Amino acid sequence: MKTIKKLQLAAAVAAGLTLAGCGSDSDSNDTPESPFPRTLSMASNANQSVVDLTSIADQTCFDAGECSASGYTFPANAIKVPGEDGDDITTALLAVINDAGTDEVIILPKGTFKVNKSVAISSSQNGLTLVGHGIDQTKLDFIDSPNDDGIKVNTVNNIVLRDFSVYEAAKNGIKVDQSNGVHFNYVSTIWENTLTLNAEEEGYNGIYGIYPVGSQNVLVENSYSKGSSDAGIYVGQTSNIVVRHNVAEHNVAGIEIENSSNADVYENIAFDNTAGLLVFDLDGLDKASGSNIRIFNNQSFSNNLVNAGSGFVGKVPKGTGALVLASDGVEFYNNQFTDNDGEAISLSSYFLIDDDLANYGTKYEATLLAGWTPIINNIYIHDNAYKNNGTNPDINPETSLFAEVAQGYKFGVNYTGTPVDHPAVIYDGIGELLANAGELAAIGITAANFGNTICLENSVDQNDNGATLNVGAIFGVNPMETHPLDETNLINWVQDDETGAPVSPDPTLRVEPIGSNELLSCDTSPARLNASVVTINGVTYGCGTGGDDAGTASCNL
Amino acid sequence: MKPFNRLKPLALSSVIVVSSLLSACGSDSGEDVSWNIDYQEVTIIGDNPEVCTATSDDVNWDALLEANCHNLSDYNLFSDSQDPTSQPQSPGIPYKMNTQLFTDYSSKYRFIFIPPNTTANYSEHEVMDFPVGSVLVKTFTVPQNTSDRDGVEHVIETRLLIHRTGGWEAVPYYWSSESNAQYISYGASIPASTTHKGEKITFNYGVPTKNECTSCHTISPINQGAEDNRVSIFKPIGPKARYLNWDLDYGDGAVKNQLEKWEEAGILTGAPADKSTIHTAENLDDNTVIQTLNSEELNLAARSYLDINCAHCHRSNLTIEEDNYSGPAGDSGLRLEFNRDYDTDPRSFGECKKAVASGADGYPLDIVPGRSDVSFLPYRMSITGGNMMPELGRAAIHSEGVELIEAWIDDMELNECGLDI
Repeated sequence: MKTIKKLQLAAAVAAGLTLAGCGSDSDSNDTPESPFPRTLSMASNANQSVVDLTSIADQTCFDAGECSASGYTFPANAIKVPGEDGDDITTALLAVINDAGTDEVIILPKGTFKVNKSVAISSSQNGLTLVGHGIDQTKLDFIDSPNDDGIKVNTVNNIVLRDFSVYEAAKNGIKVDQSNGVHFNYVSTIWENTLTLNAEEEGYNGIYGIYPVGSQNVLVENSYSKGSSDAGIYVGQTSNIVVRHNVAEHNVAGIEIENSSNADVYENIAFDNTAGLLVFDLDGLDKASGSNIRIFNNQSFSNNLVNAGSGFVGKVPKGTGALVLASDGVEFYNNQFTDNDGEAISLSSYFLIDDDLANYGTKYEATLLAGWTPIINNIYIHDNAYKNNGTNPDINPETSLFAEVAQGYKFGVNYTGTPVDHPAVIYDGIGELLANAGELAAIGITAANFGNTICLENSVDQNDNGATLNVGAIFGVNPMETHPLDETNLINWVQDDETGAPVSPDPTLRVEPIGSNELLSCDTSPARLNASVVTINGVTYGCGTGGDDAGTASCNL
Repeated sequence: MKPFNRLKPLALSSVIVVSSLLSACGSDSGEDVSWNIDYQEVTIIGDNPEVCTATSDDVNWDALLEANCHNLSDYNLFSDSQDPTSQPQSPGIPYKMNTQLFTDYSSKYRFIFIPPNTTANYSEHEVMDFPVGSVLVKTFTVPQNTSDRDGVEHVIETRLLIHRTGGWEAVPYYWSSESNAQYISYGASIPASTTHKGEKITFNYGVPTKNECTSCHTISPINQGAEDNRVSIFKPIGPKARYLNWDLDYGDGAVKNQLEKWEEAGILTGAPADKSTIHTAENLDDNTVIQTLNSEELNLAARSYLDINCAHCHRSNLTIEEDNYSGPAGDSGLRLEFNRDYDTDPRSFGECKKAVASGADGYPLDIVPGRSDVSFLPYRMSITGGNMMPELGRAAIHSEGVELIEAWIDDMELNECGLDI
C-alpha cells in the first residue's frame, strides 16, 4: 500500500453530522404483530407458497400420540422421555440422552417443560432423532438454566431435530457444531423479550437461535426463530446447505449464511428483524471463505428493528432487506423486498468494517493465504421485486455500517448535490476502485477480478409511494475518472493539496434509477450458480440433482 | 432473565479489606461451623455388569476396559475405597499440574494408572500417547476454605478417562454419600459454598453430563470436502509435558520431577534426558502475586492459563497429530494454544480481532493491547451466564484468572487497533 494511508468517509461524515440534528432516529416504528405460531401467506410470491408451521397433518394419529403434528410417525422402539405438562424434565431428559447409543429415536413428551441444564449431545449418539409432538406442542423452557446453549450438539453424524421448541436459552438456542448430516424440521428457538437497547433493564436474549456451524449437509426447514440478539437462523462454515420454508422474526439478523459453500435459501420469510437475509464472509476462520450461495423466492419485509446486537452484527443497519459482506459468489433472485426502511439489498466489502488499509497485509496475512478476501464479488441480482423500501435509512453511526452514506443520500451531499430517494440496492464499490487502482495487488486482487461481475437485472418496481426505485454506489470504481469541468480533479480520491496525488478514496455517492443501465449493469448476464443438495441418512434434499425439490417451481426459477 | 453479571473489582477489594480487618480483630478463622454441602440421590437404570464384581483386591482392569460400573469402588482404584484423594492402588501414581483448569475453586486429586508392562510414549506438545488400558482419575472436592486445602473438604465427584480399545471414554462418578460414588451420566447441579480469601462464595457446582465431558475432550476434522468422512477423536487434555515437568513432593520423602518419576516407574518412554529443555508452563495458583511478575513471567503465566483453561476448545491444527483437526471452538477463529507463536499470529489470540459469534457493548475486540478494560476476552471471563467463558465447568468467577489476563493485556504495548476508543 503506497499512497493510501487510511480510508476516509470524512466528507460525507462531516456534512451528515452537521445535519444530523435535523433528522430524528425514531425507535417508535410500528412493528408488525408477532403471534406465534403463525401462518404466513406468501401470496405475492411466484408460486403462491405458504409457510405453515403448526397445522396437524393427521389428527387421529396425533391424538393417539403416535405421530407428531407434522406427521412423523413415532417408531415402536423409540425411547420416551417421561413427563407430564408442567414438569421439570431435566434429569429424565439428560439421563435418556446421555445413556443413548447410536441410531436411537428419543421422543420428548407433549406439553411445556422446564429444562434447567444445557442438553449436550455427542458422537455417542450418532444417528439420533430427537422428536417432540409438534413445534407448538412440545416446549422446552430453559429460563432457569444458568448458562450455555439450550441444546448443544457436537460432532454427531446424521442427527434429526424436529417438532419441538426451545425457549429462553441462556446462550444459543440449538447449536450444532462439527457434524455431518443435520436436519432441523419444525423446530423453533424463541426468546420472548422484545429486543431493545434497554436490555440491561429489560433482560438479555440469547445469541443465536438455530445455529449449525462447522458442519456439512445441513437442512433447516419449516422452522422458526424469534428474539435472538444475533442471528435467528444461522449456518456458518458449512458446506451443502438447504434453508427453506422457515420464518425468522424479530431477531437482529433473520437468516444468515456465513463462510459457507453450496447453499440454497428459498421460500423463507424474514420480517421485523434488523436485517432479513445476510451472507457474510468473515476473516480468520477455519473455513476461510464461502461460495455458490443462492437466495431465491424469499420474502424479506419490514426489517426495521433497532439494532440491539453487538459484535459484527451490531454494525448492521436497521431497515436492511438483505446484506452481503465480503462474499464471493452469491445469486439473489425472485425475492420480494417490501417496506425495509433502509436498503432492500446492500453489498459491502470488508473495507467498511475495517478501513485500516495500510495494515491489511500484516493483519490478515494468514487468512488471505487461506483464501479469504475483503472484497465483494460475483454477485448476480435479478428478478427481485421491490416495494417501498428505503424510506427511512439508519443514520446512527453507532449501529449502522452505512450511516454516513445514508446521511449523504438523504441530505444531498451526493455527487449531484441533490437529495434523492434512498437507493433500494447499494454497492460500496470501494474494493473495485482500489483493485482498479492497483492498490490491492499486494493482497493478490487486481482489476482482472472485476468487470461485469456484480450485476443487477430485471428488477420489478412495485413502489406505490411515489419514490423512484434507485440503485446506488458509494464509491466510483474508475480511479482515473475526472470532474467534468476540471480534469485535474480525480473525483474518486482525496488528493494531496500540493501535488494532486491521490491520498485516499473519496466517496461520491452515485445514484440513478434502476434500469438506467449504468450502475451494476453488465454487458452480459453472468452464469447462474449451481443448485445445492443436502444428504442426510441417505436421503437427498433440495433443488440439485436427485433432490426432493428438484421439480418444484422454486427450483426452476 | 439473566443479566451478565460484571465483576466489580472495587467492591470486591473492599470486601477483602473488611474481612481482613475482622480477622485481625481476633474473630479467629471465621469458619462457619455449619458449612455443609448436601448429597443428592442418583438413579441408575439396569443391573451392574457382572465384570464389576471384583474377584480380587487388585485394580479391576477388565471392568475398566469393558463396563461403566455402577460404583467407583467396583474398579478397586484406591486402597481405601472411601478416599479417592490419596493412596492409589498399585500401579497408580499421583500427579499434579503446575497450572490448572479453574473449576469453582475446587481442589483436584489426579492419578494415572498404566496397565502393567505397557508404557506411554512421550509427546513434546500434546498429551502423552497412553496405551490402551490407561486410566486418568481426577477427584474434585470443594474445600471449606481455599486457604487450607488440606483441611475440611467435601468430595463431590471422581471422573475417569479410560483408554478403551475403541478409544477414550469419559466415565463420571458422583459421591452421592460420604462412602460411595455412583455412576452418573446425566450430570448434577450441587449448591455449594467455599470461603476464598476471606469472602464466602456460593455457587451451584456443575457435575458435567457424560456428553459434556465428550464435548470438551473432542477434536474434530476441519472438513476438506464432500468426500471427507473422517470422524471426531476423544483425547485427554491435561497430562502434557509442559504441565508435568516439575518436582513433586510424593509424600514419602521423595521429591522428584514427575516425568522422571514416570520413567522410573516404567510407564513413560521417549522423553528427553535433559528435562530443562522442555518448554514448561508457569507454576501458577491463586496465591501467585501477579504484580510481582516481570513481563516475561507474566506472559508465560498468562499463556499457561489460557492454554489449560481455553485451548482444549480454542485450538486448530498446529501440533494436533491428525492433520486438519480442530478443537470444539477452533472454528471461532480464536486459538490460544501454549505453543502457538503470538508474534507471528497475534490475530489468532484475538489481538485487534472482533469476536465472530458474540459481542458486548464497550468491548469491541477480543484483545485491545494495553487496554484490558475494553477487551472482550477478559470480559467474558469476568461474567456468569449465557455469554461467559469457559462456557462449561464454572459457576463462579475466577477473579485471579481475570486479574492475570487483564495484567497480561495491559502489559502489552498500547495499540488501539485503529479504533477511536
